[in-house]
Amino acid sequence: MSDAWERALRSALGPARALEPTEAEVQQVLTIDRSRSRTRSRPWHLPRLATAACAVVAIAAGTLAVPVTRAAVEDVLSAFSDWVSGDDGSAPGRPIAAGEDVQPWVLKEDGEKRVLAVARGGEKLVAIRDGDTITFGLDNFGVSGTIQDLRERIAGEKMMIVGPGDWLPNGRHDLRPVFGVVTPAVKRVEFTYADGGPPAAQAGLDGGFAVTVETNRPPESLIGYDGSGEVIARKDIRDYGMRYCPYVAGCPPWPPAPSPRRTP
Amino acid sequence: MTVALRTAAAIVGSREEAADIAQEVALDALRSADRLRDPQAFDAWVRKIAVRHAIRALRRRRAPATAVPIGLGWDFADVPAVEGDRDLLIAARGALAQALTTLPPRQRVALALRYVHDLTDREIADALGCRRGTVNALLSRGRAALRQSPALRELISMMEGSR
Repeated sequence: MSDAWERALRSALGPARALEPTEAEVQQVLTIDRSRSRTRSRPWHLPRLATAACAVVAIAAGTLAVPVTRAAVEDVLSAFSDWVSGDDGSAPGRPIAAGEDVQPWVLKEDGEKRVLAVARGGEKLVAIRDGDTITFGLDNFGVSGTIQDLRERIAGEKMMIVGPGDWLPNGRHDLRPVFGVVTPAVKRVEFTYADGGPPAAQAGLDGGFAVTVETNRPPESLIGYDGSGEVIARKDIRDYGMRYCPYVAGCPPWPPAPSPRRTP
Repeated sequence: MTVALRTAAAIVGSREEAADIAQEVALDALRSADRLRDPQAFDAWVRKIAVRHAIRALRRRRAPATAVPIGLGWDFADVPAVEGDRDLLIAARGALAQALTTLPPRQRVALALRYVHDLTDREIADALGCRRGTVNALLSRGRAALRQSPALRELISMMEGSR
């Protein structure tokens, strides 16, 4: 079998490799198991209970677990806080070079080091420091505040969506980049859809992402992976629709979600 | 549950059906957790249960299998700007998905475990409860059957030509 066949097979099965059970599916299993255990004739003895508990933890780990220690110390702003205080060595992304193509409003003042390019997807997502404030900016949109202000808004999250970029120039309004910032531990993000089809993904992150998504599919989750492929962050993005509906009064509802699993 | 879901999805080809199987696998795993002697073997153990359930599900099907909603894993940064190239990718995905549904269950399992979990022949043999030689035969026959699809052959050769 040629390389092309091998590649095609591997990539055709790629979506299966990226599937994750939803929290509801995990909860469903635990609920069914609890209801079955109540009807068992003999009580579980301790070793069995302990092993089963390990299995529950292992099963739930795929979707729910975030390492406690890392979760306690890191949020999406951790990597930028030292940079805002003036420590240029610790920042993610890269400094914007003089003369580099960047949104004009970014460059209204002095030197290059106050602006970092965090991600690129058609346009750039930049971080701008100005005194004690930081702005995450796209061409025509930005989120701004002091680290403390922003931290109150994001409440410990490891991924923050800044906003969508311009439509990609394919003339169909069905592809659009979504930009965001992530903690240094997040090395890959996946933008999954409620239809269960192939997700959009971006790897090799350094503080930010620009993932190109299909706007005519219902979004579901933004999943963050660390360097070893473990899920360390998950964000519900079901309300983050970006459909383009110029000819109707608002977009029609999404098609019904897949039917729920069997109830106990 | 992730391992079970991915394994089942690659075999049965539908997330919906795979989720049902993953649920059964997880319940089986919870029920028989005391039989797991080596915690390091947890994934392999779950895969084995998932394979058993998935094969059973395939054999239960009476109607012809529906097309598998799997496809060439798009990284949208790589989606070609040229309309025809994008259509070629989509067509190849559909043809390959359709061809996979025509394979016998054990061939599909062997291919799924190889190309989804990157398992060795020995690991696939463990999951299927057969010998390594049998795994080789299943993989070879599965690939050979896929090559018989004229539409797929043509699409793959077009993809090779467009690189």
